[in-house]
Amino acid sequence: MRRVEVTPRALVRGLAIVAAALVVAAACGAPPTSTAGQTPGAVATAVATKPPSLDEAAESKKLYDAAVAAKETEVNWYGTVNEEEAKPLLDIWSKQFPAIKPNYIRASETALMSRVLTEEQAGKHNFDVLSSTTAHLLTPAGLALQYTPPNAIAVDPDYKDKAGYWLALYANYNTLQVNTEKVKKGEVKAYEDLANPKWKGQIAVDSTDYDWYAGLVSIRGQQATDDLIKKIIATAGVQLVDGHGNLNDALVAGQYAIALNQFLNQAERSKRLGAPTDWIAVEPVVVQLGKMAVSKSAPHPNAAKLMFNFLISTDAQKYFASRGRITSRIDVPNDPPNLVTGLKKVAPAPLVDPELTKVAAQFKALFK
Amino acid sequence: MAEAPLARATPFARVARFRLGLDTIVLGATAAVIGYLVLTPIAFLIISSFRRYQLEGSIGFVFTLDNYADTFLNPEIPAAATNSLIYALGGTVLAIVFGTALAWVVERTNTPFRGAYVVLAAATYFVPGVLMAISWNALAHVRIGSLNRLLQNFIDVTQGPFDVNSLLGMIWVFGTHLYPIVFLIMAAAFRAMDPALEEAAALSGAGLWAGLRTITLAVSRPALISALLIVFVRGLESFDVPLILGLPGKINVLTTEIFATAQIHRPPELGISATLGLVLLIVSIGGVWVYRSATARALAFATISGKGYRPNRLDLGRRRWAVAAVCLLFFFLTLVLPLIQVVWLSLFPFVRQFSLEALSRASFAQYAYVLNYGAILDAFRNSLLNAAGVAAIIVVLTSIAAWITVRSRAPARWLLDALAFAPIGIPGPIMGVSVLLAYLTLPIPLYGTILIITVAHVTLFLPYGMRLASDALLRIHPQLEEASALSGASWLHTYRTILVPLILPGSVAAFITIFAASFRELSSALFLASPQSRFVSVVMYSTWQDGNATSAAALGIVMLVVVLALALAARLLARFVRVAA
Repeated sequence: MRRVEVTPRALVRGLAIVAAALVVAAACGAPPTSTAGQTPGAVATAVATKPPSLDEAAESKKLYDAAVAAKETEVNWYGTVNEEEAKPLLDIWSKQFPAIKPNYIRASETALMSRVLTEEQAGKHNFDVLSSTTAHLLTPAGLALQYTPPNAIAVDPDYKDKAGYWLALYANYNTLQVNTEKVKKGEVKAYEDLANPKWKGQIAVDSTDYDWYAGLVSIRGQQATDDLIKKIIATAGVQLVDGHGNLNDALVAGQYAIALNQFLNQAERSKRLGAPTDWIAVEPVVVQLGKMAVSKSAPHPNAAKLMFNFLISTDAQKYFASRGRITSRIDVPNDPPNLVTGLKKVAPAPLVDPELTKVAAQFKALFK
Repeated sequence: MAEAPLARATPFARVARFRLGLDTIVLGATAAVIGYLVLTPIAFLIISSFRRYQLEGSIGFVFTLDNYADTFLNPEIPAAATNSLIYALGGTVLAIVFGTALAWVVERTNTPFRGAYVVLAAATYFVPGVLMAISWNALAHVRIGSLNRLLQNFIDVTQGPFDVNSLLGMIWVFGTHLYPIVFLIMAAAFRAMDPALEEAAALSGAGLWAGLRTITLAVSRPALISALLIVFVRGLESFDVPLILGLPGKINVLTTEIFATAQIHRPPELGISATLGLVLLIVSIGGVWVYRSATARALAFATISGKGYRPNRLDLGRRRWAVAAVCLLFFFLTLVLPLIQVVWLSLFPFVRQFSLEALSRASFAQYAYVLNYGAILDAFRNSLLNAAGVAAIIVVLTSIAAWITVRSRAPARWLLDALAFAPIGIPGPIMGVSVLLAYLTLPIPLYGTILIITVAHVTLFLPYGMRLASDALLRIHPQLEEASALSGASWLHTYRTILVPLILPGSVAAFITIFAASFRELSSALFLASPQSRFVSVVMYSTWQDGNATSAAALGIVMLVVVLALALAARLLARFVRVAA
């Protein structure tokens, strides 16, 4: 098991850069944030920087050679990234690692986890790498390998599991989304602006957006958050829609003017297709991580590590950035580079039972 | 024909005893296969409903009643259950009325364009449920629905007049999507009707309506009850329509409420969905009991007997053009309108409201994208082959199994009937997990192949085959088999040469229904598909879930075109075979 050394020099350098970024952001007059004051753990998205000494190609080759030597010819990646998005990435893989065929098994969040657990339960070890926002559940199930790949050194420290079982592939920023034909620029800047009878029947939210809700609570406090939401519901009402994708479709089609919460890259993707929509970040932004983990009983253990490392390589992360996603590597700029620069963010710990059940119950009760 | 109400007709057993030969083996094997296919997921269903995940360093389970507590003690459940009942009943009534009326028009009258109606009805059923729901949402959303906006030019209202996010809207969408099942079942029944009874009624002075009520519908009672049962249970387990249309209107039904409860847990607790499955199982077994008691007097429904017959068609005279117009209007409202909306959606990169000025920006880019999808040919091939295989296997299995439950005096044949119908209540995801587990545990290498989905589908759609085969057999008078047996024919010979040709209309109806159902099935395929076994329905659903609703719409249209082309090819082939023969 390899551990990457963080030398004191590297640490100081990193901290200096972060501090500089914060100063710059504060000096430019950051947009108004919540009234709750300074929130613990809110960190400005770091400016792209070079990670300390990492010879990506050499490290990658070592893993590749190990896989080839072990006669591994395939690797099974289970993920929630849609196929159309995954395909070009797999093409990049095939160019770099022609001897190992990548098999991508795609399913929704819940179906993927059910499938992995069912397979493992029956003793069938089929997945090598799992990527989804709930990949952290592999740890309590005893299925994740404690492994830190060479490229991990370049990943945002907020985006790594302290215990070393998972890493983030990308980050989902939670923002407001508006239909630009119904909402004038600057008309809505914060959640408080939604408590306006003008938006009656025009606001919607995903019916299972528990993580965002929990993030908001961690920033503003339970009482303040609930009061805010109750005020919005009392004035304008909030409709429920199943899934961020559907929410986006409905908003873009004009069914709603405002989405109480949406993933930034979802809104950005629509915007780039020409849809009348835009996203509005309310800081600090709640971030959910698209995580990934390696299987402890991977059928192709070396190829698994190679895939794990590949997904956070510069090439892969650049590809994700080109698809409007927010990368987990600090040295790969987003597209465009200033997409989320300067935005304060908070990445709350992933929800698990029994906390999750409580949060979900509260959410359901609020939005009934 | 006044017959003393006999017990279930079992002349065969009196006339000839079973030898321990091919007959018993075939019958026994059929029963065993059905038992095996159905009992595995049911056992899994029952076990999962009593346990939850316990992940403390390994995958473990804890046995608990919490699933039941969370489901039945949920304060939202009574309201959700009421909504489910209203939705299911309303949809069933609509489907029965439309389906039966259309079946009667097509099989018993001389209305023009009858052949087209069959194709249009079948096409309606082929449209995936998700797509229908999205389409009706776009058509009849209270604020931005295309239809509403069009009508607002003529009616003075600020919203509506239609609100699809209401119980009525949901009932309309469900009923108009599922009536083809009723149509196919009732059409098979009406086709095999001996006109002697109706003629007798007419001679006694009964009018058209009285004749319909007392004779035609009464004699088709088995088919009517089958149709009712299938659609009603489908209504109770319906998920896509309530999710897409009900959620925004804050209308919860059992399925969406229980799904929401299961989602509160990570990983999602299958056990909670299993409790609903158990409720549906009980309902479906109850349904089978109702069916068997209502059809106990088997001879009352036998319309095919030793006498030759030719079902006659009612000559509507000049009124037949009015009837045709009504039918065409019906298809316009239930099929053409939603399809136009789907096509509109598919012409843009994101969901756009209908407007003439946007027409200039329309393009077929979504179709190009869908057709260039690398695995699309594989997906179509897999979906079509699988659907055909599933339909064929079920028709064969259930035709034999129905003989056991309808004709034989085998002990506990009611159990076989109940088992064959039970899967209608098993939710798709549960079937998926159960099949996955079974074939990972058993030394049968189906994992990762198409066959694992075939097995899941055969189990899921057994109920359709069983009901249709039972109805078909009940229409045949036992005297035909008696005659054959008296002449010394074996059971297998009788079955092959006499019964099979006579139940053919029912078998064809079953084949079409199951083919369509398997082709568009989603929830178990989603779970079991792998890169080597892609399915069109899964590709369409994933595309939609990825926020690519317009590409999903394009794929839906392509699916429909492919199926229609196949149907046309099948008809041409049939005509050619008939001409050549």
